[in-house]
Amino acid sequence: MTTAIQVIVDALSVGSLYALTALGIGLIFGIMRLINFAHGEFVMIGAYMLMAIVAQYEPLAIIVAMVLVVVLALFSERIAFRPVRNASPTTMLVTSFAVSYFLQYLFVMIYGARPKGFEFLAGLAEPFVIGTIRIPKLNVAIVAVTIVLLAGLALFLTRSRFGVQMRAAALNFRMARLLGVRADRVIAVAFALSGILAGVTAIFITVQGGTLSPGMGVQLALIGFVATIIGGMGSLIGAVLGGYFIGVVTVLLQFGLPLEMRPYREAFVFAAVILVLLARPQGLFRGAEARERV
Amino acid sequence: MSLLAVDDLAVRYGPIAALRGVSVAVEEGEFVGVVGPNGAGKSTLLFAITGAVRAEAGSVSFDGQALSGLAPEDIVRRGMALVPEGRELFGELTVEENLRLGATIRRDRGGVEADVRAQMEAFPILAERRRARAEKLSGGEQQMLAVARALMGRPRMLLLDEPSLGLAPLITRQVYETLTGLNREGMTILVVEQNPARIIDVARRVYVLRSGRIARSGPPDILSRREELDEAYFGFDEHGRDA
Amino acid sequence: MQARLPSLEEAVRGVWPLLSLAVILVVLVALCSLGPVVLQRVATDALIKLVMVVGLYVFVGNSGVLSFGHASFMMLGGYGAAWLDVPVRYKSILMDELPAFLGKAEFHPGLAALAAMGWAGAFAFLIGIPLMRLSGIGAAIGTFSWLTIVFVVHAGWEEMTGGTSSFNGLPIYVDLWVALIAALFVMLVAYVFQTSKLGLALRASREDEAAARAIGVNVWRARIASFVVSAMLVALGGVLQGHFLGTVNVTQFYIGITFITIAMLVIGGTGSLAGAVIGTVVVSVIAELLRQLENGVDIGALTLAAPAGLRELGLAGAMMLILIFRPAGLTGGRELPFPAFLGAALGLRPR
Repeated sequence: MTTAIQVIVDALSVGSLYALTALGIGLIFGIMRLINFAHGEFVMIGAYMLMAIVAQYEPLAIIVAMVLVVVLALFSERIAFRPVRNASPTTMLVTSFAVSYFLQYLFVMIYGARPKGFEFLAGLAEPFVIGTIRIPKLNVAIVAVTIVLLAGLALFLTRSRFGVQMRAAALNFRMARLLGVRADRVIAVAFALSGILAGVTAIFITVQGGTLSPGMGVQLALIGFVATIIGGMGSLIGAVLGGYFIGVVTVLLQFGLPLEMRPYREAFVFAAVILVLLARPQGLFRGAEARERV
Repeated sequence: MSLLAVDDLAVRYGPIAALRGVSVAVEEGEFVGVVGPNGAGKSTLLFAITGAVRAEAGSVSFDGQALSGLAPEDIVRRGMALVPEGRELFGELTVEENLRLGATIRRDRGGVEADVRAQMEAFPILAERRRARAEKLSGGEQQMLAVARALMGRPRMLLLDEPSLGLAPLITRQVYETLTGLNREGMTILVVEQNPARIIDVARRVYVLRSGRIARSGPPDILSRREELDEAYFGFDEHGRDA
Repeated sequence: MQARLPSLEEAVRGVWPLLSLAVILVVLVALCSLGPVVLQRVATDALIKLVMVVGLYVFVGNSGVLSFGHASFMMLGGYGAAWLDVPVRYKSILMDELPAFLGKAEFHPGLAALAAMGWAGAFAFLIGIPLMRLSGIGAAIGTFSWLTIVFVVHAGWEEMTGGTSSFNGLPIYVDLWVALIAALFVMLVAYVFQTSKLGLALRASREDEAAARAIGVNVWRARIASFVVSAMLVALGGVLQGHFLGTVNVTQFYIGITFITIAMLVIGGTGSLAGAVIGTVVVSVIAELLRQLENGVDIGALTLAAPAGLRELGLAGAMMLILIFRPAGLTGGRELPFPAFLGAALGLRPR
């Protein structure tokens, strides 16, 4: 029983991080068919910014890092992605690959390639103890903050005028523009939102991992893609569900796989990706009629 | 001066010329039709006017101002609204959300609320199904919603692409009654249709588009002269009907 | 129709795209061979990259489908050859958990290279059957997933590969000349493929998939064929890499090399063999210059050294600039033009 609860909390917190990442990638994909490889670097840079500023005051570090990541996301859109906006999805994908690489090595140049230890919000590492159950405060914080963010985003997308415009743009970009929805603004807001999600992810990853390296975002971005594909590209709810799904599967495999199979955990995950691409390109959670133009 | 003046417009999709030197003029308050066979370039013409596809040559001006190089979102702000072929509603959004999206370009909240109510009165089915997803409406209802959505932007001119496509004759008549009503109140209308019968009674002037060129233009009765229409539709040149 | 011999003009024009590139390459390599050993090693490394990039081009350039998975075939090639040609005396010490038939094998390196290419080609065929049904983003993600699977299996299967540590003891037989011959061979294969009936059909499908299907091209089959050929050539690149450095390592064949080879192809222009070759040459030169900057440049009494990472940063920057300002690459996706003066010298009529 005790283990079961701990496993569930684990799965939910891992899933939350993946869901936030998948959502950051999915928001941009929905609107401009760009798979943003560089999302992982947004997270990485957020984490380094926390480290750069933390000496002053932790809440300040969080605010400044978030703002910087949002600015970076907007800047990368303006400089690199806007010029290729009308190119094929493949060209955009290669561009984001280049941006990702560029940012990674920019940070290799500034901070070196070696991982750096960095303790942030150390208080979150302690557990809540309820009877025999020990649940890390961090995990609870991750799940709670994710729920708040998801709810906020859902409200924004359904209740605000601009949110509805964004959903319209994701469904049919040309028609949205023909009704007067400003392409530049919608895309900029999508990047800004994705920057906020990356900033939050950066905080949690930093607290959880305790080490930073310029390559730390790559793995996360990969999981984000997997989640968006499993959830069905273009569907935001799908991306969130996909994130939690991968989180749960990862934790279960960690517990359930025989020891000698554990190194191959990711091979199973990516084999599943290929299967989903082939058999259910609309994602696991949607009906066939929702099939996207992928 | 014409409200809309399209001058020598050319559009190309890769190696294929979709429009070659098309000129069309629409006066304020006019109801103008463009007819032509499938693939003649009718939809391309409307998309090129509204900036959704880029013209290779020629010019479009609206109310005396050149539109070339402007993005669709800026062009619609000048007072044009397009109801595209197949409606292009946002199927996963509600009827009301679709309607309100039509008012994206407006800043007057009070006026928008009043117009939402007005459109719902004009098309009661929209009020009844305001919370339903747009894709759940019938074809005719969708067409009404698409027209209502376009009107929410308070345009001076309405462009419609095959509003009768896929609709039963009775519904088609209703759609055209709505359009003539709007025209009577002063709305300038440009309708593109494949079937000339729809246009002949309502339009003041017509253009016949074939293979990306204007083959004929004049009063609608040119459409009733059978041999001219045959020529326009089937052509006597080597391009054939789908050229 | 009566068969006839092609005229001199047709023959020269027909092979010109290949001939011109081969001549340029041979001249460059000959110049490098006169330089210091360091330069020769840099040039050898660039030629190995050329094998990989031209191999990648055979699929990407002809089909128009992007692959993020070709590094997997380098890995299969590199390890495949190592299993066969690392001397038994090394294997018995370093890789004593290898299955007996591999532990006792000691093939001629040439034979091992061929077998490794076949090994990679077989995998390309098997995974190509499902993956070649995908296009666009789906294909990019599918091939990338495949790369990750191959990486994870090689990194995890310690008895076979040594895990994440290097597999050492590969006979070092690759020098400038071996690499040059391999590069010329790969270019020849690529050119023959792209001018073959199958290659032309595939290129037609790249321009317009529906139209190609309409004239009876089985796009799926044509893509599988090019994927297998391409994988085998890329595997040769992996073999050469291993036998140039004397070692293979899983991280050598993962995201880094994927990025570099795609960058080279994109910068040169995905659509032509000239793009693959020129992209590789240009990027190699720039990368080498940046590497020297990283190592430090003496200016009078001063030594200026750029921080590590500059090379990759420059490469990514160059790639972004190309994608933004010249999306078809330096060559614009065209082969080298047949120069008029040469036509005149050979007494050929201008066309």
